[in-house]
Amino acid sequence: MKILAVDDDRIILQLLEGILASAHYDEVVYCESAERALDLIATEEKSFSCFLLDIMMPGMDGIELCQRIRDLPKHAETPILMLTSMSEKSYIDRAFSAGASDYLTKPLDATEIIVRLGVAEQLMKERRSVAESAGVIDSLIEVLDRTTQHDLEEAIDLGKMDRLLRYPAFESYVFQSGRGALFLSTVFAAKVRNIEKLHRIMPPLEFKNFLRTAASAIIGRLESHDVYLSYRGEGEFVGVIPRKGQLVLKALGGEISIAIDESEGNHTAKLPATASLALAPSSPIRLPTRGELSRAIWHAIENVRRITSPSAQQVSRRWSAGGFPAAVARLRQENDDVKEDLREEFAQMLREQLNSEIGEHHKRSQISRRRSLPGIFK
Amino acid sequence: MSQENSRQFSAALSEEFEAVRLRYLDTMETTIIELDALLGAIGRPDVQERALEGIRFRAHKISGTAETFGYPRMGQLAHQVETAVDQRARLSASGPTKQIEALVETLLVEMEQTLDARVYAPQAARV
Repeated sequence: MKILAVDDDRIILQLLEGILASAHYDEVVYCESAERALDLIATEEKSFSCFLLDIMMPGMDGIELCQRIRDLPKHAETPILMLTSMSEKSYIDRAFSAGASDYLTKPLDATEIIVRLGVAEQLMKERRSVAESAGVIDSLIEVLDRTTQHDLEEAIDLGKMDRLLRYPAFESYVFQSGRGALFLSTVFAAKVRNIEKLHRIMPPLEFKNFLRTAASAIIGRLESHDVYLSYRGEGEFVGVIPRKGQLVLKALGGEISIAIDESEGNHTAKLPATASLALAPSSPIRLPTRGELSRAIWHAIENVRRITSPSAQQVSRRWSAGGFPAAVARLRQENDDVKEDLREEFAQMLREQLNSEIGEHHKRSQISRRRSLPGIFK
Repeated sequence: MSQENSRQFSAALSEEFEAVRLRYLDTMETTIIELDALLGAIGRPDVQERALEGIRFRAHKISGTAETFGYPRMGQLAHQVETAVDQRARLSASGPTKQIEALVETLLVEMEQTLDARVYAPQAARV
């Protein structure tokens, strides 16, 4: 450890020399003024790794010297121990404000000096170790960033999470769960608003972490309803809730807000504090077939795309600006849409029930009856 | 520090310390002459403030070193001088100096006695 000791009292310097030499600190430079100390710091080839500074010195005092040393980037973390007599206690606060790490009071105690220097040395070693580790971590993150670059459209594997399935597994789960298990289930989609911008400004690992946070936010809110979720690219998630999903989603509201962690590492990005996740359900499925589930997934995705598209947001803003009549008109329209959906669902359900209950034999009978009674089914 | 290292450290330090203590006593004679001159200058209004400043500076140095070398009373007296000069500066820069002069006188007597005796008081030393 290379030490610079500064004190205008030559006797104190000699005393320090004796103490430090006895403790085998061999790389010590002594000087009698703050000005000379700054010259030494500027010109020494090998940097000092610890400073011992007297506070009260003629000319520039130890506190100002401490501040000047701290202002040098290479000594932002270097231990600075202030030497002060008991009568200078009032200066201690100022010394710490100026960046001092520790202080030693005069009369000097040899053992105390050695102990404090030992602590400073240990601290410095740990900081160096942390800095080296941080460097290694930064390099690894860079490599990972390069190797984990994903297109926005890609259905990134978000890693292991309870109730989060990769997209192919999700489809298999939905199609193979059986009609009974998915009776009255609701397929829904969720999409992160402004995902293109977030994908552009976030480093790849942070983007993936953000998507994990979004997945976790959805699952966390629907966990008790046996939700299964999957990420399918473009900031879009699809999920299925086995029973009474419509009610659950309605209770959840149309939006989830997600906090975004501050960007870290070498390539930090200026990120918004939160992102918004829009939710849209498909129609409930009574007794789902494979084709019907596929349609439900697409229906939910189209719904969520519609509400998150920039034009939809403009329309929404225009409606908000239109006041009460516009709001009433919007509610009426929504009401009509819901009625239409229900009519369609009901008709579909009846068709299915007829198909499954009557069977091929009855169909054939009906066809032959139709032929014999041509007027009834017209 | 292990016990063996500690023993070696103490032995090496004792030798170094004794050499520095003797040098300290050598410089004390100069300090006595300087303090005496400054004490005489307190009575002159044109240099009074500079004289007090000089006294305070030297007293501060003595209070920071004397006890280390085994002279605690000298250190305490020097500290009293330093405090008295500071108090006067805080209360009134043109205030009386009698108390300060008396304290400096006591300090000088203590320093002279120390030099005359050249007594080392190891029980009081901090090193």
